[in-house]
Amino acid sequence: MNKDVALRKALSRRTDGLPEGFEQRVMNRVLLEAEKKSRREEVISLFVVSSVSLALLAGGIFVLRYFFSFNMLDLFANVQFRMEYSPLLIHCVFIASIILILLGLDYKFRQMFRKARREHGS
Amino acid sequence: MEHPSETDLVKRILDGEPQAFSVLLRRYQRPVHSLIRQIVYSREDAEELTQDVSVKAFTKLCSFRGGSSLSTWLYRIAYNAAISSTRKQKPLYPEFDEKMLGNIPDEAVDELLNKEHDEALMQRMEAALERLHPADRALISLYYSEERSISEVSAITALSPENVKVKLFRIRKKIVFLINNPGHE
Repeated sequence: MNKDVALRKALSRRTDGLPEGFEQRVMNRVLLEAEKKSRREEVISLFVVSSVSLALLAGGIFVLRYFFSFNMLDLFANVQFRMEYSPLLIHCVFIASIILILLGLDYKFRQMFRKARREHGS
Repeated sequence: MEHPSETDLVKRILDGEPQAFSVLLRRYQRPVHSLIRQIVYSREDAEELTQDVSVKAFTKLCSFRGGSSLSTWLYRIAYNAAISSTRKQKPLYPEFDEKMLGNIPDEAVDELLNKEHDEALMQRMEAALERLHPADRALISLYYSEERSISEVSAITALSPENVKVKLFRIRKKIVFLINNPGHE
């Protein structure tokens, strides 16, 4: 297609190239935006999880209190902590610690995996 | 060297790999900048706007549904951003009436716009292009420089294909009129 060749030439003479480092500058802004977006998503998901948990807890308390006439204070009034229960308590704390450590490791490994994937992609 | 497909790149970016955007940027920064440069008046503004458009394309990528090609989608963002930036400035564009454009024979338009090796004419043509409305410049730039089809130009500018054809026809006449009447207000 060679129609209007002079017009094409005049149009091409009006354009100039992009300066050196332009791509890097844009990518810096893009990565900053990606960081902001990921932080925003984290905050939103934390908010959603907290809201849902609170709503479930409130719903549970409401059902127990008004449908089953269950009073937490009555239950805890009879609870007594004795020394003979302490090995059981130690066992529970041990299991809870292991769970917490595993959850922490899971979070850390996920982060490392994401970072490695990003670096591999670039 | 392996060239990842656009669909693949878009998916990778949306899956949390923003570095993949650099491939798209390398592919489209020149044509996007070229279109913006045809619309806006200064080189600095064009550069800044190209940066803004690139970042906007990245942040809005999740809204890209694949109904058109990625290049059409990017051109649409660039076109809208550049046209709205020129709305803030209020330069005067020459007025054209149908009669004076109708008096220019089609053969004269064809002949003048194909005279490639006349430097004086090229300079007059560049001056004429400078005086056109930015939306007109965008239209001829998309069609002639970026070699987009009528349907693609229509999708980018939100004009009907028939309207694009009519406008292109009239813009060619406007350019010839301005070349022959450089003092026209």
